[in-house]
Amino acid sequence: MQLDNVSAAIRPRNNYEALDLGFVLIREYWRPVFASWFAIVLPLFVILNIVLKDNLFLAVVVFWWLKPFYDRIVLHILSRAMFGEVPGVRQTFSALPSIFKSGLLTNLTFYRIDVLLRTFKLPVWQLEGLRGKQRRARHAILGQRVHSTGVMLLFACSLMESILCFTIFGTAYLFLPEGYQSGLWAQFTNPDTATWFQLASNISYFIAVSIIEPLFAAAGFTLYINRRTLLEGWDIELIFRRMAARLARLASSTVTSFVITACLLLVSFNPLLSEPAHAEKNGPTPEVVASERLHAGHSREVIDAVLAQDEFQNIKKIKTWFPLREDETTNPDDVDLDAVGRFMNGVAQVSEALLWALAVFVVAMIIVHRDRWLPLLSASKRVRNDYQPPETLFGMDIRPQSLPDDIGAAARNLWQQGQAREALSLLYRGSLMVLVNREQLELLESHTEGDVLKLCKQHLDNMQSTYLARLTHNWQNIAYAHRTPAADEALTLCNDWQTYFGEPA
Amino acid sequence: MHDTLRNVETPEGIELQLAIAGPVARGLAYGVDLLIRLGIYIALSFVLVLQGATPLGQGLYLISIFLMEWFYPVFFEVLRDGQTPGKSAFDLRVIHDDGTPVSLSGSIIRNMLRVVDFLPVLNGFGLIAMLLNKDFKRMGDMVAATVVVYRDASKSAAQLPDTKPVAPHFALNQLEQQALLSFAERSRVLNEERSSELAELVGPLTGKQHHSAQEIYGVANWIAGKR
Repeated sequence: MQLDNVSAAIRPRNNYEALDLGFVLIREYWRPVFASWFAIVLPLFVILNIVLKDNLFLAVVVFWWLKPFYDRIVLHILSRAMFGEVPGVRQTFSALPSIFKSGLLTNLTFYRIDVLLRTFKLPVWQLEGLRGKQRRARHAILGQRVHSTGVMLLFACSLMESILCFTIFGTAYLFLPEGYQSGLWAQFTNPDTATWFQLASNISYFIAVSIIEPLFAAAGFTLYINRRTLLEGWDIELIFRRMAARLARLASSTVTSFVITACLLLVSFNPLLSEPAHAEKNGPTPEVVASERLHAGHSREVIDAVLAQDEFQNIKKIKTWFPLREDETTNPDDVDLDAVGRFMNGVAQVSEALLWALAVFVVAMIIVHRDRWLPLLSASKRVRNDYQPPETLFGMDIRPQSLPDDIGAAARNLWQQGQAREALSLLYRGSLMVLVNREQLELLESHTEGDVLKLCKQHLDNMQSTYLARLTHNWQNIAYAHRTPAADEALTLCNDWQTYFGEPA
Repeated sequence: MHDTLRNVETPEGIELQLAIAGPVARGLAYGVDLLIRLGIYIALSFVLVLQGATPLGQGLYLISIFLMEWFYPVFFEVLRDGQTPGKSAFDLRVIHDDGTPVSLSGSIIRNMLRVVDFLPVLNGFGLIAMLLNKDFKRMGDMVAATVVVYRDASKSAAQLPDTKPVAPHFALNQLEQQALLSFAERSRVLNEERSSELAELVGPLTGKQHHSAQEIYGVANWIAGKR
């Protein structure tokens, strides 16, 4: 593995950032990943569905079970692509035997349940090729501090997978013609689901897995990379290597140029031939730090010497106005400050008197005009006092004087004469009259029978309300539906009227 | 170089790096917010609906659900520096593309458009759009020109190994100085063999061909200003 060829930025990240890098990798290398995915996993899915066509649910379970295999394909491609060597479909195919040998059988059997850090642990199986005790020790070291992130990754990925699956299935369902849609819920609840339904869910699941599983594998891989970067200082190694190359170049360039100049000096003292010494300046200038640091006092001297040079002697003359000092301004015709003070005091006193006068005036006006604002405070009361009981409700006369004294008896008489409608009408009118006049219930002509029942609740006790509800019900039946109540019901109503609505004794 | 960092240049010519947050952290933060809201709804239902079940209580309950669903993220994003409680739990915050704090209108737009991410059935298409976007933006983020980033954790300077400062023989650029410093800072994480292996790599830093880890720590101390 050549760290210099790495195509992703290597730096220590927090765990979630490491996962994001995996997502970025899939976005960058989606072509090789999906090419191999659809060349290997899609045929597998199709074959599974054909072989298990009598039990398609089993097909999808087997497809799910084989997930560690797909992770290995993705990891194989990414681990190479990341270091600058993108494998094509053919190369992936030829790598399949080695993929099978990388502990795949173990992962598909008793390690299949070990899903939490599956794709995080996979590189140790597949890339480092460790087995047994060594592998477990390696997992233990690498797995520190990433466990919760691994769990969260699995949780998030399985959630995204289900969401995608539902979305794909649901969207396809939206495109069904209306007549075909109704059977869907039955299919969900029915144990013997229809083939088309199971096949549609299998395909939705396949698409969802195709999108999410590479991400899951890639995120596990980058989490592993990040962990190793932290533990092994990959980021440091990268820069150290580059630095070493640069320093080696610098060291050799100073040495060689020194040797060349020395040789030239030895060969000839002709000053014309000292040109290479100048040419050296055009090459990479060696950056050399003095190994000794100057004393602070000494650096002051150096700075002063530099500042004393001609370049810093740039003195400019500028003419501008500025005020003389304050105490020199003694103006003979200045205003007497005491006089100003006295004047201002006078103004202040006058203003204060005016303000007091204004306050008194305002209070006086408030008192004088109390007629205007006092009613505002008691406005609601006044409106209530203005209430006039309506003379008619629902087209019925409810003035007290229009009704007989003993309403119950009068109604009974009417009922016995066969005038059922008039009898109930009388009872109802009587009740309304009582509500409006005695109970002070503010009924308006706009209210309905139902409104009356609601409004009267606060004014009547329970028995009265129940009676009124019964009466209203019977009255509405006869008034609007022409349904005469049963005789004993009507008679009870007549007899009870006095009890509930008669004058209190 | 593939990376999750995004460079933003300010008008003053300063380059800022934004650490873009991806779907896993953001999804989990959303989940936390969802749970918090659900908890509040359940608590409110005890107060407003189950007791007495008056129409007023039911009405208030529905209004509070409406307000919470639409304005819970807006409220926190605007008033708490781009962080809802869920985002805060995962060290995330919302900012504008250009690195400025999220504005009221930006926050309202990105949160109103959560509905669009939900269409047509669950968030599947919203998720795909997010995966395809180079800044992991939701559709709401695309419209509001906002982005979710990792908050910079405030780190205290790590302790350097106590060695005698050694001046390097070459002027080092910023990256190299940083690498030397982090080599010394991480001296406890890197094991001994690895440390000396890395130290071997640096080349003629102080004139010698090979350095021990201790000598590199000395250079790091010199860079850190202990002279």
